[in-house]
Amino acid sequence: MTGYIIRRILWFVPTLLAVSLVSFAIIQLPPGDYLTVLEAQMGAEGDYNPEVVARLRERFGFDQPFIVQYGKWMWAMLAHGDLGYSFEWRVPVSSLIGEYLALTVVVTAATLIATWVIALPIGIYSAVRPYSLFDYIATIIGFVGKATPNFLLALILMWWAYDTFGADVSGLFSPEYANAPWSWAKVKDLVSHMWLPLIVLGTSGAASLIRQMRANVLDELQKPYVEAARAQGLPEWRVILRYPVRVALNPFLSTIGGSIPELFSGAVTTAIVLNLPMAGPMLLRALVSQDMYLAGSFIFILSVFTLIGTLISDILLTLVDPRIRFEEA
Amino acid sequence: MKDLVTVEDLSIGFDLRELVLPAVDSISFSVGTGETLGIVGESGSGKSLSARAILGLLPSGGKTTGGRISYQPEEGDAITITDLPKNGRAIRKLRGAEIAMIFQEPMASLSPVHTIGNQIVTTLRQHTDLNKRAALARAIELLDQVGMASPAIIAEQYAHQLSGGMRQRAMIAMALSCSPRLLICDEPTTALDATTEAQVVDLLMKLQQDMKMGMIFISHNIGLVSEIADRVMVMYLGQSIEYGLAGHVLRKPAHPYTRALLGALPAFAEPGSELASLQGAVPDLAARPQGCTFHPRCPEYAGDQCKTRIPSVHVVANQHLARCHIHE
Ligand SMILES: Nc1ncnc2c1ncn2[C@@H]1O[C@H](COP(=O)(O)OP(=O)(O)OP(=O)(O)O)[C@@H](O)[C@H]1O
Ligand SMILES: [Mg+2]
Repeated sequence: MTGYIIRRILWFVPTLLAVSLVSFAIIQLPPGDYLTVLEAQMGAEGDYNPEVVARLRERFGFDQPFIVQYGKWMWAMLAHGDLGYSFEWRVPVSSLIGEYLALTVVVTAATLIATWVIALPIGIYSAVRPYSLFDYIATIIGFVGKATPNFLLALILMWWAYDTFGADVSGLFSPEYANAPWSWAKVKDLVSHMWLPLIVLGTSGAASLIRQMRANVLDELQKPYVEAARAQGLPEWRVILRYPVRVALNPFLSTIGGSIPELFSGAVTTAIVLNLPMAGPMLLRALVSQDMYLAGSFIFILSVFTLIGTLISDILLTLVDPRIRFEEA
Repeated sequence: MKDLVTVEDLSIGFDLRELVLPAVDSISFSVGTGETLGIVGESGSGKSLSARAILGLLPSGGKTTGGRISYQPEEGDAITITDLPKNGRAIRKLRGAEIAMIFQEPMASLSPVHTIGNQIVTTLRQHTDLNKRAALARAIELLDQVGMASPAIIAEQYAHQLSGGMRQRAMIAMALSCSPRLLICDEPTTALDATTEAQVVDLLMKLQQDMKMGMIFISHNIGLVSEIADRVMVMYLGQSIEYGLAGHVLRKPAHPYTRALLGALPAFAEPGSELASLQGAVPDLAARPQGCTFHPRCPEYAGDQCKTRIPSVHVVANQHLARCHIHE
């Protein structure tokens, strides 16, 4: 087990290098660079100055070949933890993205946990009592939840909250805390703002989780080992939790890693509509304005999270399901 | 001999909204301490349903539509199993503790995600006061009893790591963990090769004698049943068509179906005669033939009465019953 984990972590290094190279290349793909965007802006504002642009081009190395730019970026990151400079925000990337990433992680993790805590019991109960009133209600809510686009749900809830409480519920903080330093009161404020993004981001995930869990448990309940457990004299709830639910959980454990980037990118629209200070909208903006080090750093860190998530998935899976052997990885 | 389990006129049906599908049709049998009842019949004849009803384990949609099953505990009054609430405390106290079951597919019937030891410990702790460590020690002892070479290692392993024969031995150890008084074996050797089958059957016979258990042994192999059973019930399309002491039934079969089944076995075939084999296939439950359900396939078809009248049960000899018009 330990050997397996160490081997997996060692594999991170080449994987990350490859990912970083690919993401850097993709960011460079569109014609032009940040300075082209800047030139256009300056031109529109009527103060175009070719000398300034040329100076900037030299300073940031835009005139050098791709591989040199990439090498410099990687070297600075590995040697000094320097993620580069954000042209648009005019600050080092590392000072910019910390809080955004932290908030993204908090919101993403909270959404994942809430989804599981709510959806799994509902799915299990629906499977144990299929075609009951409860099952039908859960099914209807599930389909509606799945079919409603997140941004629409966000708009409806915002309108409803405004109509009912007369308050703007968007954002993650009240105005007085938005730029305040971290304090206990700010954390409480964050928690009190979380419900809306949680509902919006979690609903469709929860809906599909309910359907999948129901199907998985229903499948498992037909298996002979469940009957054998009953023949042992175990109480029904123990029979269900000890065997079918446990087996039915496995497919979900394997999706934890994959759901991280999905939540990151799926949250973009929601984050824009709800005005959330999260990584998604910022990444989008950086990509549009070709703010390449900012965009590159985001993608790179996102990949790291995904790799870690996948590793956690695999470890959980091997712990829960003895049929999976380490050697096969 | 005191009977452990008595089944009287038991009928089981599946509720299909428009109709109730009769899967088991008023069968009666009993099993005493230390005695083996063999149940034989083709696939779909209702063997498993009859046996599972004793544990109150009918599949969803299935229910007892008539008759009763009673169990005589070591002390006290008989318990009417058919009156107990489904999966309630009373029936669960019998399951695994007084009446245990071994299933056809050991691989599918063992948990894929728990070790063998863990599963035996769970049964033990459900029915006894043993603590974890004592239960594990007992589990290893049981694995030793069923002939596992290194029981302590097997206890740590999962079903998928064992061979077919070892899995069935593990199932047996699990079933016997609480020293049940009745053991139901539902085709315990169907999934095994011939050599392993013989070993597992020998083991079951030996354990039965040691523990003085009653046993119900289900099989579609009448030859195997003839070797181990004291009494035999032959089932066809949910009905018990012949029932009696194994010696009588196998040497002097009274029903054409039993004769045909035995005729297909070289050991029982009359010298010189060709091996008889049954014509056609078992009809669907929903399309049960009128009159005697066996008449379309019957080699001794005896005229219109077979087509129109349901035969009643006739006593053909001492403790030997057959459901056929030829004994009228
Ligand atoms: N869950 C179910 N729903 C509907 N009908 C069922 C169900 N289970 C069993 N039956 C019906 O009951 C009949 C008897 O089933 P049973 O399992 O007792 O047969 P069996 O004699 O054990 O056969 P086999 O040798 O294949 O195990 C079957 O023919 C089937 O039509
Ligand atoms: Mg069966």
